[in-house]
Amino acid sequence: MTRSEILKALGDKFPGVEIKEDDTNPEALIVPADNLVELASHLKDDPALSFKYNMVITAADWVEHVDVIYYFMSYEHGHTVALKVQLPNERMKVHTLAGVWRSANWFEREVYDLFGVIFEGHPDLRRIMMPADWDGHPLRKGYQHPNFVPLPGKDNPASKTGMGHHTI
Amino acid sequence: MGIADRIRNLFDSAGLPPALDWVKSDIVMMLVVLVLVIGFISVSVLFLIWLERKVSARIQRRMGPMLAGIPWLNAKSMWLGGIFQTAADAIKLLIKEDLTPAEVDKLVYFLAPMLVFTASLMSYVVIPFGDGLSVTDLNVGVVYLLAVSSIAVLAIMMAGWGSNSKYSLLGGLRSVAQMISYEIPMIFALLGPVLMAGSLSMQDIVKAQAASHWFIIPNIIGFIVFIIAGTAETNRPPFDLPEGESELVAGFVTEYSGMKFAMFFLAEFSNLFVVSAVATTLFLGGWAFPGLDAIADPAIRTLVSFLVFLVKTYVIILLLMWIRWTFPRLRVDQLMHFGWKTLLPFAFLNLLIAAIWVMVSVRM
Amino acid sequence: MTLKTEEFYINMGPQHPSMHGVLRLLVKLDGEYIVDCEPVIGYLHRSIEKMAEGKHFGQFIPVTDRLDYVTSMSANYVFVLAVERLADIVPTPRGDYIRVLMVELNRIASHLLWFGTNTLELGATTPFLYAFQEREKILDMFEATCGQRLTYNYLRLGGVAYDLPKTVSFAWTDGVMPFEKACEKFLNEMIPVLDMCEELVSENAIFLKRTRGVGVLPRDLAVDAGCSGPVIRACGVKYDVRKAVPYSIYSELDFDIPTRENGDSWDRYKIRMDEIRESTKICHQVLAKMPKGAFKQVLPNRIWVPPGEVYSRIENSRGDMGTYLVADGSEKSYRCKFRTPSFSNLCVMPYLLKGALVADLIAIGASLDFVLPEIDR
Repeated sequence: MTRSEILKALGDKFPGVEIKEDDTNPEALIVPADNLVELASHLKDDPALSFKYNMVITAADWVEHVDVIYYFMSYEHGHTVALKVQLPNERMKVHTLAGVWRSANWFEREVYDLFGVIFEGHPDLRRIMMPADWDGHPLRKGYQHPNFVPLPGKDNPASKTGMGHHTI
Repeated sequence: MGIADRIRNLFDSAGLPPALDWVKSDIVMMLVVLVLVIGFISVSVLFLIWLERKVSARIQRRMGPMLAGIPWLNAKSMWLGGIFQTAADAIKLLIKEDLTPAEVDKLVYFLAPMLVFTASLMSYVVIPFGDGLSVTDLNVGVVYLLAVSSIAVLAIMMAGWGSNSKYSLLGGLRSVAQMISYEIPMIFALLGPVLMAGSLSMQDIVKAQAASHWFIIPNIIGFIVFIIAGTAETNRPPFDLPEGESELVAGFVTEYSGMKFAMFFLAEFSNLFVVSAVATTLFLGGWAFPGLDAIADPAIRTLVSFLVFLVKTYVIILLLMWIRWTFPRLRVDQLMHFGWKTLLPFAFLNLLIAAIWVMVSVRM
Repeated sequence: MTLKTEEFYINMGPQHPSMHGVLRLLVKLDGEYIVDCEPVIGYLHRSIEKMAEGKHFGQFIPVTDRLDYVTSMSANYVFVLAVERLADIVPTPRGDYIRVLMVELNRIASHLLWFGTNTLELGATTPFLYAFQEREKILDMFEATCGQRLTYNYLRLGGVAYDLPKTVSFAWTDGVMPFEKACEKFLNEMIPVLDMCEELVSENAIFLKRTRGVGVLPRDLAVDAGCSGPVIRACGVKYDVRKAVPYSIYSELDFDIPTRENGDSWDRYKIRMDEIRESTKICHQVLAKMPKGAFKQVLPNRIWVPPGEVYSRIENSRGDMGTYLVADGSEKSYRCKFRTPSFSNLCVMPYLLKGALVADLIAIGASLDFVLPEIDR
């Protein structure tokens, strides 16, 4: 099924929910955060859709909001779709999908660890990559850490050699 | 006739002045034999470790130790390179710092390596190295051997407990369970040749084989059982889970370093020799050889019998080494199942076959 | 009277001879049986994804090498594929063929390494050396091509970095040989060695006892947990990204996907051995059909990619590897996420270990074939 057919199938089943096709991502559908679990469960359970394989859950930080994107695939039908949820900075919470797909458990832990998105109802929401007592969420754009030092370069007064140029 | 007597004969034929008669006394002879046996074990173990490394290397398509040896010998032949490697390793272990972890049970921790080597040493007392070449020929030789090998079990338990470490304890317990389980098929496998020889004395068993035929013929199952049980007794792969499996680091020897570690290591190879020697003696005819009686000169005969014994023992040793580098290891529960449920019934079967053979041959 | 037992924890810590990297397993034991197990990862986290946001695309390719250093070509490939899809770059035909040859050779090398370490952890030390001898020949070929034995940095946008060498001379080629002939020689000589290794290991009674029926993964759990690669093919799901969503020239190549039914460690082992043979088939076909021409598109060092998002997938040695790339019109990626198969394969480990013995832990971990750099990134 193509993305528009999937959109139609979801739209028929959940008439009140506003689902849009994403312009930047040819496979993604933008869905509201509150309806995520029911939409995703329908994607998994409906035999015509049958998205049993949750490939990845990840996020991208757009400074004022965070996009959490979920990719699904179906072994039977071979089609792929992604659901994208846009979470504003003030409300970075979404309900967990760990009850629907087991793979979501660790993926969501990673998104929490690196972005700070809270997954409500997650059985074990704690850091997975960073040490347990780490402060901050490293993959956010504004993340600062006292260990960051500017690289030496000719524009940087901190550099003694002033050699070369740097690209970071 | 033992080694001591042979040495006394040697002194007599060489013409010892009467003033030095005390040299032939029991105490001096005991010391001389002790030194000889320990010397033999040391050289033997050094050689065996080097041989193991070479055999494993050639099986794995590589060369093994090549540098620490006699230079022209290293260059001439891949097989003979690096013969002093073990000596170098032994010296290294001797000069290493002797670390003792803090909370060990001191007496037990220090006694364990000594005990394990002693147990191994004690087995050499009854091994018939040649015609009239055993330290002493106990008329309960086989039973003595089995009893003494059980001391090693105690020593390993001491090592595991005394090290005061979770991993050592687990390793020690597993090793003890394994050794006890495999002693029983070993005993029953050995009973076959004993039955056929009609004696528990090692030299008598060899003489019985010299008189008739090698006892491997009816006891082939027993031979296989003994080889397998012997591998398990010496904690060699494929039965080295107690000390080899990665999660236990090194099993009961984890907390040992330096000379104490060397003791365990040497004891393992010494045991390897003992197991092979016992297999040779009981199944392959020991030092007996068809043309041996034809040799007139007793000194030459003794020497040839010693060489024959060594050759046969080394055949078994090479077989055990070959097995080591071919197979993966068994899991603990599979090991125990195998020992009790597979090996023991076959050992009984072998005993039955040997008994029937003896009965039939007595009738004929 | 029931025996009072106490459960205790064993920490198979980050430093461990057989943990495929720095993985920490907190194992709760009841005597010899595992009650529960928790993998703790993050010891090798190098913030590769954050680095992607600071380097332009060409600069980031060497960093992807370190993403999975055992199959470095595939790691390069997944990133390069994503950028090419976003920027509409088509690789040259010769570049495409060389890429596939390198990726498949790397797959063989990775499976040989896995085979060696798997049998080594089970106690058989000899097949390890046989496998590594063959792997050395592959590494020799890689060294002749791109100068590196492990982290190749070979793929570029639009092709590969250097052309295949005209002639090579190694210890195992008799004198100087064209590269293609040396590659064929290696492939032909490796199959008998592989047969010998399989003869030594596959039907060995002790090996069967250690792996048959050990770590059985039910099919539904495997699909639900997102497992991929040999792990899921052992459960009966016949899925391979190279066949399902063919990328590069895979649609023109003829190869099978080995699949098995039981989902235990032995099945996973056998599938990987069969995959080595399938990869040799692919390599033969690629060498036969290799076109001449440019090995790379002529592109500037830095490229600005139009804004967009893409998710590219390839079949790594361990499973389904993907890159989620978000570009914002600059020369650097805005967000680059690597979906790695080992991450998902590892998360079923607690399930597989329940009720198993400690010795099985090693066997199961080895059969899952995870590498930590992929998991921790």
